[in-house]
Amino acid sequence: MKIECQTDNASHRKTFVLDGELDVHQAKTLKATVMEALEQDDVWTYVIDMARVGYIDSSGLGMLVYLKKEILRNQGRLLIEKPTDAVLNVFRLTKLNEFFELG
Amino acid sequence: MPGSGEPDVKHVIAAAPDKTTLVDLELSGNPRCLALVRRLLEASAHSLPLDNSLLNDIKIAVTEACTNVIKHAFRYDPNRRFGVSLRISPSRYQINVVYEDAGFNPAAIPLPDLNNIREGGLGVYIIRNIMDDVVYSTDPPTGTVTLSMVKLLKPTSATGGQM
Repeated sequence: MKIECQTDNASHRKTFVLDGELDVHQAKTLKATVMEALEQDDVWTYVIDMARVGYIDSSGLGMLVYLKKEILRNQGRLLIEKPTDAVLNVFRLTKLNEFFELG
Repeated sequence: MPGSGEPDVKHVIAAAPDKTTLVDLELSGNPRCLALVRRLLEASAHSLPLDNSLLNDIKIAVTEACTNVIKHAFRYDPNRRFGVSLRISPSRYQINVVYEDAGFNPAAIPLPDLNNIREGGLGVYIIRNIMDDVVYSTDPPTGTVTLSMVKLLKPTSATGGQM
Protein backbone atom coordinates (compact mmCIF):
# COMPACT_ATOMS: atom_id res chain seq x y z
CA MET A 1 0.00 0.00 0.00
CA LYS A 2 1.25 3.47 -0.84
CA ILE A 3 0.72 6.33 1.60
CA GLU A 4 1.16 9.91 0.39
CA CYS A 5 1.24 12.65 3.01
CA GLN A 6 0.06 16.17 2.21
CA THR A 7 0.66 18.87 4.81
CA ASP A 8 -1.23 22.14 5.08
CA ASN A 9 0.70 24.12 7.71
CA ALA A 10 -1.66 27.11 7.58
CA SER A 11 -4.69 25.10 8.70
CA HIS A 12 -2.79 22.51 10.79
CA ARG A 13 -4.13 19.76 8.60
CA LYS A 14 -2.33 16.64 7.43
CA THR A 15 -3.84 14.34 4.81
CA PHE A 16 -2.74 10.74 4.31
CA VAL A 17 -3.78 9.52 0.89
CA LEU A 18 -3.91 5.71 0.93
CA ASP A 19 -3.64 3.60 -2.20
CA GLY A 20 -4.10 -0.14 -1.85
CA GLU A 21 -5.61 -2.67 0.54
CA LEU A 22 -5.81 -2.12 4.29
CA ASP A 23 -5.29 -5.56 5.85
CA VAL A 24 -3.27 -6.92 8.79
CA HIS A 25 -0.02 -6.54 6.86
CA GLN A 26 -0.60 -2.98 5.68
CA ALA A 27 -2.25 -1.74 8.88
CA LYS A 28 1.17 -1.66 10.54
CA THR A 29 2.53 0.65 7.81
CA LEU A 30 -0.37 3.03 8.35
CA LYS A 31 0.15 2.98 12.11
CA ALA A 32 3.86 3.79 11.80
CA THR A 33 3.20 6.67 9.38
CA VAL A 34 0.41 8.32 11.37
CA MET A 35 2.04 7.81 14.75
CA GLU A 36 5.25 9.38 13.50
CA ALA A 37 3.30 12.50 12.48
CA LEU A 38 1.40 12.48 15.75
CA GLU A 39 4.63 12.50 17.76
CA GLN A 40 5.99 15.50 15.84
CA ASP A 41 2.89 17.67 15.64
CA ASP A 42 0.91 19.59 18.22
CA VAL A 43 -2.86 19.80 17.77
CA TRP A 44 -3.72 18.92 14.18
CA THR A 45 -6.54 17.60 12.07
CA TYR A 46 -5.61 14.33 10.41
CA VAL A 47 -7.42 13.23 7.28
CA ILE A 48 -7.27 9.70 5.91
CA ASP A 49 -8.25 9.78 2.25
CA MET A 50 -9.64 6.34 1.32
CA ALA A 51 -10.77 7.02 -2.25
CA ARG A 52 -8.26 4.46 -3.54
CA VAL A 53 -8.78 1.80 -0.88
CA GLY A 54 -10.89 -0.97 -2.39
CA TYR A 55 -10.51 -3.35 0.52
CA ILE A 56 -10.44 -3.17 4.30
CA ASP A 57 -10.75 -5.92 6.91
CA SER A 58 -11.06 -6.03 10.69
CA SER A 59 -7.32 -5.44 11.18
CA GLY A 60 -7.56 -2.26 9.09
CA LEU A 61 -10.70 -1.23 10.99
CA GLY A 62 -8.99 -1.93 14.30
CA MET A 63 -6.05 0.24 13.27
CA LEU A 64 -8.35 3.15 12.33
CA VAL A 65 -10.10 2.82 15.72
CA TYR A 66 -6.71 2.82 17.47
CA LEU A 67 -5.51 5.88 15.53
CA LYS A 68 -8.70 7.81 16.25
CA LYS A 69 -8.31 7.14 19.98
CA GLU A 70 -4.65 8.20 19.89
CA ILE A 71 -5.43 11.37 17.93
CA LEU A 72 -8.26 12.28 20.32
CA ARG A 73 -5.91 11.71 23.25
CA ASN A 74 -3.68 14.37 21.68
CA GLN A 75 -6.69 16.71 21.33
CA GLY A 76 -6.58 16.24 17.56
CA ARG A 77 -9.28 15.29 15.09
CA LEU A 78 -9.53 12.42 12.61
CA LEU A 79 -11.58 12.58 9.42
CA ILE A 80 -12.08 9.63 7.06
CA GLU A 81 -12.59 11.03 3.60
CA LYS A 82 -14.05 9.53 0.43
CA PRO A 83 -14.49 5.91 1.58
CA THR A 84 -15.31 3.58 -1.32
CA ASP A 85 -18.52 1.50 -1.33
CA ALA A 86 -16.54 -1.59 -0.27
CA VAL A 87 -15.10 0.25 2.74
CA LEU A 88 -18.47 1.84 3.62
CA ASN A 89 -20.11 -1.59 3.61
CA VAL A 90 -17.71 -2.83 6.29
CA PHE A 91 -18.09 0.41 8.29
CA ARG A 92 -21.88 -0.05 8.29
CA LEU A 93 -21.67 -3.73 9.21
CA THR A 94 -19.60 -2.91 12.28
CA LYS A 95 -21.41 0.39 13.04
CA LEU A 96 -18.12 2.23 12.59
CA ASN A 97 -19.88 4.66 10.26
CA GLU A 98 -21.26 6.10 13.52
CA PHE A 99 -17.89 6.09 15.28
CA PHE A 100 -15.85 7.85 12.58
CA GLU A 101 -16.30 11.33 11.22
CA LEU A 102 -16.84 10.62 7.51
CA GLY A 103 -16.45 13.10 4.71
CA MET B 1 -10.31 -17.61 -25.43
CA PRO B 2 -10.46 -20.33 -28.09
CA GLY B 3 -7.08 -21.11 -29.51
CA SER B 4 -5.21 -18.95 -27.00
CA GLY B 5 -4.13 -21.88 -24.88
CA GLU B 6 -6.07 -20.52 -21.86
CA PRO B 7 -8.08 -23.17 -20.01
CA ASP B 8 -11.84 -22.69 -20.15
CA VAL B 9 -12.28 -22.03 -16.42
CA LYS B 10 -15.98 -21.30 -16.73
CA HIS B 11 -16.56 -24.70 -18.26
CA VAL B 12 -14.49 -26.43 -15.60
CA ILE B 13 -16.44 -24.76 -12.79
CA ALA B 14 -19.82 -25.42 -14.42
CA ALA B 15 -18.98 -29.09 -14.87
CA ALA B 16 -17.70 -29.60 -11.32
CA PRO B 17 -20.05 -31.25 -8.83
CA ASP B 18 -20.88 -29.05 -5.83
CA LYS B 19 -18.47 -30.73 -3.44
CA THR B 20 -15.47 -30.78 -5.75
CA THR B 21 -12.40 -29.03 -4.43
CA LEU B 22 -10.98 -27.01 -7.28
CA VAL B 23 -8.19 -25.26 -5.44
CA ASP B 24 -6.16 -26.51 -2.52
CA LEU B 25 -3.62 -24.14 -1.03
CA GLU B 26 -1.02 -24.48 1.67
CA LEU B 27 -0.17 -21.12 3.24
CA SER B 28 2.41 -20.00 5.76
CA GLY B 29 1.97 -17.88 8.86
CA ASN B 30 3.31 -14.83 7.03
CA PRO B 31 0.52 -12.24 6.53
CA ARG B 32 2.02 -11.22 3.18
CA CYS B 33 0.26 -14.25 1.66
CA LEU B 34 -3.18 -12.70 2.27
CA ALA B 35 -3.04 -10.33 -0.71
CA LEU B 36 -2.13 -13.29 -2.92
CA VAL B 37 -5.20 -15.21 -1.70
CA ARG B 38 -7.41 -12.21 -2.59
CA ARG B 39 -5.96 -12.13 -6.12
CA LEU B 40 -6.85 -15.82 -6.47
CA LEU B 41 -10.42 -15.17 -5.29
CA GLU B 42 -10.73 -12.30 -7.79
CA ALA B 43 -9.54 -14.56 -10.59
CA SER B 44 -12.15 -17.19 -9.64
CA ALA B 45 -14.93 -14.59 -9.89
CA HIS B 46 -14.44 -14.01 -13.62
CA SER B 47 -16.27 -17.23 -14.39
CA LEU B 48 -19.08 -16.99 -11.82
CA PRO B 49 -22.29 -15.05 -11.22
CA LEU B 50 -20.39 -13.00 -8.67
CA ASP B 51 -20.83 -9.24 -8.62
CA ASN B 52 -18.28 -6.96 -6.98
CA SER B 53 -20.01 -6.64 -3.61
CA LEU B 54 -20.43 -10.41 -3.32
CA LEU B 55 -16.81 -10.97 -4.29
CA ASN B 56 -15.77 -8.39 -1.71
CA ASP B 57 -17.77 -10.25 0.96
CA ILE B 58 -15.93 -13.47 0.14
CA LYS B 59 -12.56 -11.71 0.11
CA ILE B 60 -13.22 -10.20 3.54
CA ALA B 61 -14.45 -13.48 5.06
CA VAL B 62 -11.48 -15.48 3.76
CA THR B 63 -8.98 -12.82 4.81
CA GLU B 64 -10.55 -12.58 8.28
CA ALA B 65 -10.38 -16.35 8.69
CA CYS B 66 -6.74 -16.53 7.53
CA THR B 67 -5.78 -13.51 9.64
CA ASN B 68 -7.22 -15.19 12.73
CA VAL B 69 -5.14 -18.30 12.04
CA ILE B 70 -1.93 -16.31 11.45
CA LYS B 71 -2.48 -13.93 14.36
CA HIS B 72 -4.08 -16.00 17.10
CA ALA B 73 -3.25 -19.66 16.37
CA PHE B 74 0.21 -19.22 14.80
CA ARG B 75 1.26 -15.91 16.41
CA TYR B 76 2.87 -14.88 13.10
CA ASP B 77 5.17 -17.94 13.01
CA PRO B 78 6.14 -18.13 9.29
CA ASN B 79 7.21 -21.76 9.70
CA ARG B 80 3.72 -23.01 10.45
CA ARG B 81 1.34 -24.05 7.67
CA PHE B 82 -2.42 -24.08 7.18
CA GLY B 83 -4.74 -25.09 4.38
CA VAL B 84 -7.33 -23.19 2.36
CA SER B 85 -9.50 -25.05 -0.12
CA LEU B 86 -12.07 -23.66 -2.51
CA ARG B 87 -15.09 -25.64 -3.67
CA ILE B 88 -16.75 -23.61 -6.35
CA SER B 89 -19.89 -24.27 -8.36
CA PRO B 90 -22.26 -21.89 -10.15
CA SER B 91 -24.61 -22.05 -7.13
CA ARG B 92 -22.28 -21.98 -4.14
CA TYR B 93 -18.83 -20.83 -3.13
CA GLN B 94 -17.37 -22.79 -0.25
CA ILE B 95 -14.09 -22.10 1.48
CA ASN B 96 -12.55 -24.38 4.09
CA VAL B 97 -9.73 -23.17 6.30
CA VAL B 98 -7.92 -26.00 8.11
CA TYR B 99 -5.29 -25.48 10.78
CA GLU B 100 -3.96 -26.80 14.06
CA ASP B 101 -4.90 -25.04 17.27
CA ALA B 102 -5.28 -27.46 20.15
CA GLY B 103 -6.69 -24.91 22.58
CA PHE B 104 -9.33 -23.44 20.27
CA ASN B 105 -12.94 -23.41 21.44
CA PRO B 106 -15.34 -21.76 18.96
CA ALA B 107 -17.98 -21.38 21.66
CA ALA B 108 -15.60 -19.08 23.56
CA ILE B 109 -15.37 -16.45 20.79
CA PRO B 110 -16.86 -13.31 22.35
CA LEU B 111 -19.39 -11.14 20.56
CA PRO B 112 -18.11 -7.59 20.00
CA ASP B 113 -19.89 -4.69 21.68
CA LEU B 114 -20.61 -2.45 18.70
CA ASN B 115 -21.65 0.40 20.98
CA ASN B 116 -18.27 0.44 22.68
CA ILE B 117 -15.92 -0.34 19.87
CA ARG B 118 -12.45 -1.71 20.53
CA GLU B 119 -9.47 -2.28 18.27
CA GLY B 120 -9.99 -6.03 17.94
CA GLY B 121 -12.56 -8.79 18.07
CA LEU B 122 -14.49 -8.00 14.89
CA GLY B 123 -13.17 -10.74 12.61
CA VAL B 124 -15.51 -13.65 13.39
CA TYR B 125 -18.46 -11.25 13.76
CA ILE B 126 -17.82 -10.03 10.21
CA ILE B 127 -17.48 -13.58 8.86
CA ARG B 128 -20.76 -14.66 10.45
CA ASN B 129 -22.56 -11.62 9.09
CA ILE B 130 -21.45 -11.81 5.48
CA MET B 131 -21.41 -15.54 4.76
CA ASP B 132 -24.57 -17.65 4.42
CA ASP B 133 -23.25 -20.60 6.42
CA VAL B 134 -20.33 -20.67 8.87
CA VAL B 135 -19.37 -23.82 10.76
CA TYR B 136 -16.39 -24.38 13.02
CA SER B 137 -15.54 -28.02 13.70
CA THR B 138 -12.74 -29.30 15.88
CA ASP B 139 -11.02 -32.65 16.20
CA PRO B 140 -9.67 -32.68 19.79
CA PRO B 141 -7.35 -35.71 19.38
CA THR B 142 -5.36 -33.99 16.61
CA GLY B 143 -6.09 -30.36 17.52
CA THR B 144 -7.30 -29.75 13.95
CA VAL B 145 -9.80 -26.94 13.43
CA THR B 146 -11.86 -26.66 10.23
CA LEU B 147 -13.72 -23.46 9.47
CA SER B 148 -16.20 -23.99 6.65
CA MET B 149 -17.81 -20.93 5.06
CA VAL B 150 -20.40 -20.93 2.28
CA LYS B 151 -21.74 -18.11 0.14
CA LEU B 152 -24.77 -19.04 -1.95
CA LEU B 153 -24.53 -17.55 -5.41
CA LYS B 154 -28.11 -18.24 -6.52
CA PRO B 155 -30.76 -17.08 -5.90
CA THR B 156 -29.46 -14.92 -3.04
CA SER B 157 -26.64 -13.26 -4.99
CA ALA B 158 -28.81 -10.14 -5.40
CA THR B 159 -28.50 -9.47 -1.67
CA GLY B 160 -24.72 -9.68 -1.57
CA GLY B 161 -23.07 -6.76 0.16
CA GLN B 162 -26.36 -5.34 1.47
CA MET B 163 -25.50 -4.61 5.05
